[in-house]
Amino acid sequence: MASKETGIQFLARLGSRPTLSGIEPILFGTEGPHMKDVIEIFGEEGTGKTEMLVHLICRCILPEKWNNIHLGGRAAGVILFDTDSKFSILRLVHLLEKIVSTKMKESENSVTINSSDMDVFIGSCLKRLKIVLCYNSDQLFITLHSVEDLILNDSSISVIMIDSISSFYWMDRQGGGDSTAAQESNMRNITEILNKLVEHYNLTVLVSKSPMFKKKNENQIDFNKLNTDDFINEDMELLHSEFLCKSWQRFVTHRLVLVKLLDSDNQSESFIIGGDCCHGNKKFLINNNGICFMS
Amino acid sequence: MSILKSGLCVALNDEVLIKLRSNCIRTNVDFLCKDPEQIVNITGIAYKDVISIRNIILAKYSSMIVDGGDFYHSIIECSTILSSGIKSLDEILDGGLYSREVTEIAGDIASGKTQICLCTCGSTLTRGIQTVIYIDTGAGFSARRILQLTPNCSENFVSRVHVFDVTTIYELLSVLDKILALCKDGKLDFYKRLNLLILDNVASVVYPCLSNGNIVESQGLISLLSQKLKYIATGLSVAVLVTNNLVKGEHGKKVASLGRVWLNVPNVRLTIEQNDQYYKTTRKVMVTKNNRGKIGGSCTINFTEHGPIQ
Repeated sequence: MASKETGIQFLARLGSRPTLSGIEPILFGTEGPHMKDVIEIFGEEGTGKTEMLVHLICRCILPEKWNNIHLGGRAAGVILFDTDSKFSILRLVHLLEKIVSTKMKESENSVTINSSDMDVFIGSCLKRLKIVLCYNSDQLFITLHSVEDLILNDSSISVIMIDSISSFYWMDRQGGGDSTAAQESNMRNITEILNKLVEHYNLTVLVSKSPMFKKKNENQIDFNKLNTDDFINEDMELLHSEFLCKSWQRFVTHRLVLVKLLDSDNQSESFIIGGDCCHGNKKFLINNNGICFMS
Repeated sequence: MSILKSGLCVALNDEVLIKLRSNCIRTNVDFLCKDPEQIVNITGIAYKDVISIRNIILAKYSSMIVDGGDFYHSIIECSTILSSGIKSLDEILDGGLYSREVTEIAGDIASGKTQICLCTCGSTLTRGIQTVIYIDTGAGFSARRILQLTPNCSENFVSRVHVFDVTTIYELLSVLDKILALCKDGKLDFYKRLNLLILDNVASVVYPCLSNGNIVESQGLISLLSQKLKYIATGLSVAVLVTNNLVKGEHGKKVASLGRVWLNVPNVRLTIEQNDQYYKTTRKVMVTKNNRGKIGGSCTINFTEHGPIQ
């Protein structure tokens, strides 16, 4: 398929999909993420990976402007592969409404919007999101093949998200017997088809990944600092440990690492995110309004 | 991994199958890995047939791609919030247990995990005609206790609970398969009205397989179990309630047991704070994981010998 393509594929490849640059300047700078970027969000359980993806979905599917309110979104289509059955659409709708109402108050010209208009608007945003639930890696692989038609026909789709890529790791290892090649074959196939979709249609890929093993050289990191704000200067890459196959490692272009700070009181939980695409680590909180970055 | 079989579609007859097998294309994943034109070149099967086999595989084995708007409406229409029967607990959970979610109660021995399960079970039974499946791994189920804990619950209500006793993880997996098959079948009223599945306690069936030393096998089984529980929750729109023990975690904090694969599984986790004084009847319960809202909310529950939990 690399050598020849149909007219529709040609147009889909050349046609302009919404760009994501500047979608979240705190994380990706004013330019990023670029087309064909593959960004991995890595963190232990309960460090806000799914929440971070939901936050980015909001930024993608909201339009730039609505009724003279500047929303700062990209009106970009997102295909979300939910392999952990963790995604809550109720949470997404709640956050979308919060963003719109906050921006509405901020905007100078006082616009009032009744609730039915709001529902129609939120509905139009949700149309840009496609949700796929997968329960094993074969299903994920086959569905990645079948979304190609959807991407061909819908020129607004510019992001594929997978939450999370590591869900089927142990099932695949168990299914593959003693041979590492067989254990990793599904992951290799998934990487291959994702790579093809990214290259052909100029998409951006965002995935979450949880660690499956305890970090070996963990003593390089001073975990006592986790109690304080000093942890913000640590090299977050030290927390990362790789376990997926080689071809996946080559495929990933950027990595964000999340860590939860050990606060004495449990009322406010704060997190730190850092990685090669953001300049310095950033601290954030998760509350009812979603992710709030601290300056 | 599904093997290619004749009968999947007209184009996939025995002759085509032999040609595919002689070129090492045995499963549908093998088939999709190769470009259609490449398959034509190496096997000599007609291009038209290759495309039609490919389309059938994609249609039959890929998951549904659902539009966000439709997904939202279907969730609004068919999801329910089940009260746990304990007012203060419902408040910190934004109303109670949500269908399509796996809720976990993690606590030490004798911290009241089973009591909360029985209470939730009773409260679900008193609402309409809903049914409950109670998978019991530690002989903790007691119909009499449900009647004690739930004010409006009478004996014939309790007939809407099915109790499965399991002692090993393999038994548990086969019970879950059986439940899934009966629900999909849709013939029995009991399974059509299924609203809540309680698994009390998951740790006692998983521990034995953790101790045999084969990490790949034990983690694989935990992943398989969690995917099945999630499939029951999301596929059948059922609320799943699981109890688990606590172990000492990496930074000295108590965390839910069964390791990091399992930690990712529940959508909502309640942790019952440890209390050395077991004779005390009050327990502090805290939300330590929540995919749809704030964490950190807490409440105090009073477990009384007779009558409902305050």
